[in-house]
Amino acid sequence: MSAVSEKPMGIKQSASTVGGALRGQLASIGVGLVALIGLVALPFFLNGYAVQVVTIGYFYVMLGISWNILAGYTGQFSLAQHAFATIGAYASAAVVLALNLPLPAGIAGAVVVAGLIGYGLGWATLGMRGVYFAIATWAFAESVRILLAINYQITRGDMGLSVPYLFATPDPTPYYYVFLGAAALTLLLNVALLKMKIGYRMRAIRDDPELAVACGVDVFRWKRWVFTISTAVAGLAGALYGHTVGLLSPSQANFTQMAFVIIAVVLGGYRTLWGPVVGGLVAQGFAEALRFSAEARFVLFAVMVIAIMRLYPPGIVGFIESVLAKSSAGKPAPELNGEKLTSRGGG
Amino acid sequence: MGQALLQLDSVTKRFGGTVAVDDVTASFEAGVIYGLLGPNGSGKTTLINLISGFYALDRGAIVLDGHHLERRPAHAMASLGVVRTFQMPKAFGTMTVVENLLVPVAADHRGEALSALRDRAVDALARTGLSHMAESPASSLSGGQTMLLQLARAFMYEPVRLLLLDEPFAGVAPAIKERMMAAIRRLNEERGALVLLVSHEMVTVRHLCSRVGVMNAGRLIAEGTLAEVANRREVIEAYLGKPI
Repeated sequence: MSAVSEKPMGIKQSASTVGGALRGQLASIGVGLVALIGLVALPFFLNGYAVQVVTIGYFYVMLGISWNILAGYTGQFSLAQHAFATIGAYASAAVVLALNLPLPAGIAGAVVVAGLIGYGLGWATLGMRGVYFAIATWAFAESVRILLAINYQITRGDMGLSVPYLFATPDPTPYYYVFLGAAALTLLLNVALLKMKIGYRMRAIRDDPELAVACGVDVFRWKRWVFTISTAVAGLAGALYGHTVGLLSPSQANFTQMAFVIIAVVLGGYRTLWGPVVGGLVAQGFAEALRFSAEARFVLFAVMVIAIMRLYPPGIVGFIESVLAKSSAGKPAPELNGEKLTSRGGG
Repeated sequence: MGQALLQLDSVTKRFGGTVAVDDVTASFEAGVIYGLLGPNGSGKTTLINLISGFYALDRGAIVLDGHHLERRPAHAMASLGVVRTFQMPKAFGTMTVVENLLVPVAADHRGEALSALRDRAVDALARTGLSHMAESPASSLSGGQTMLLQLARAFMYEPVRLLLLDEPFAGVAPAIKERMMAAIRRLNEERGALVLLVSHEMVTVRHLCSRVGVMNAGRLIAEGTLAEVANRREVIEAYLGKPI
């Protein structure tokens, strides 16, 4: 499945290779269509509570994809994705409540505000490398949370800020379809980025920034643009989430949210196209199943992430690919695009 | 003497109290393969890093075909046709070999479409004998093959004015070394590239380079043909140890 993402262009191939690639692409499209039909039909087979759970799962899919674009494909290990979702949620609330504009304007405003702040934060931090960048983004995220909490005259702090719902109905089904569509568009954005020149720049920056510079890639510029795109998508996800739950609180910027996004992506398959999709839904399912254990479930998640990173870095998607490869052509199980996370790190 | 393509004027670079490149002035004609020799720590790689924009000059000027390079960022050198390799074999490991060759054209967002450039990539791989590895991950290449891939990348540029090669033959198997030398000659003869080759391998330098310069302690102490400089006392004392 992720082969689509990692091989956007190829050399002239032999007829058999082209035939194989075509069959592979048709198979991917077929699997994708079946999955899409299944997901569209899902609300007809689930109760309202389960539909809500899956809807929130799509929120994490969106955050996971946006983070994977940045961390997985570009090598910028940001720890602020949840903060940008929160910024998006509050920005949309501000547009709708303070400016009395309609919800679509609020959501569009959320995308713009999150993207602009992302551009600014990227300008300030993307010159840093590795752990320094991660620490800087974490500090930013904590600042967002604290600012929202202490400015309770405006944000109502931990008491929560009521915002209008997307739909005037308690039925979760319309929300389900909105999030399904938004998650599908986010996935298509990911595919498009990887197929375009910017996708090559992203992967070049991740693999070797010095060589990328020698090849003519303006590393700082493109890291900033990818950061902006990624944060704008997080802002969209946050705005939709806010208008789905109807109540905003600074706790949405707690680090556990970021940890959950990382857990979802690693579980599904870091640096793969479908990893955040599978991981977001599976992690959300686990989280709901373990809700009785409250915050203790995050300990279990942490153990899962360590185990996956240590034992099987490609995650669920990598596992499925390896099974399919073995059953079809006897290919060896894929590592993470030819490298192990344990040896070279995650960007 | 033809017209100089690359001119260095009083180029100086300091690292703290150490003068790595000390007041180097030289000019290089187009279409020449120029060997840059000297003992370890003499400033050869620093000079390559200065010309390619990876280091900022402390003093002096670098002019390539009328373009001042000293204030140009490193990523902007490629658009002028300045291509460099690194001492360590470098490749985009998670990409395939052919995808590696598309990065230089992908870096230019105003340039040709990627799909239109695959033929050029195929041709570049054929010229360096890497066609059979085209769809392999670059991380699966040997060190020598990775150096070949760095050279193959040069064929993707139009034009290639200046090729900066930093010890490309170090630790490379003889068979691959031959292919690398053939690729360098092609880039020089067919594309008219000025080649600056840093190397300690005198046999290779003798085969490839029509002119050489010798650096010692950051200074360019001798210039000329290899035969001319090899017998100079200062070159023997600083680098060769005995006449060759």
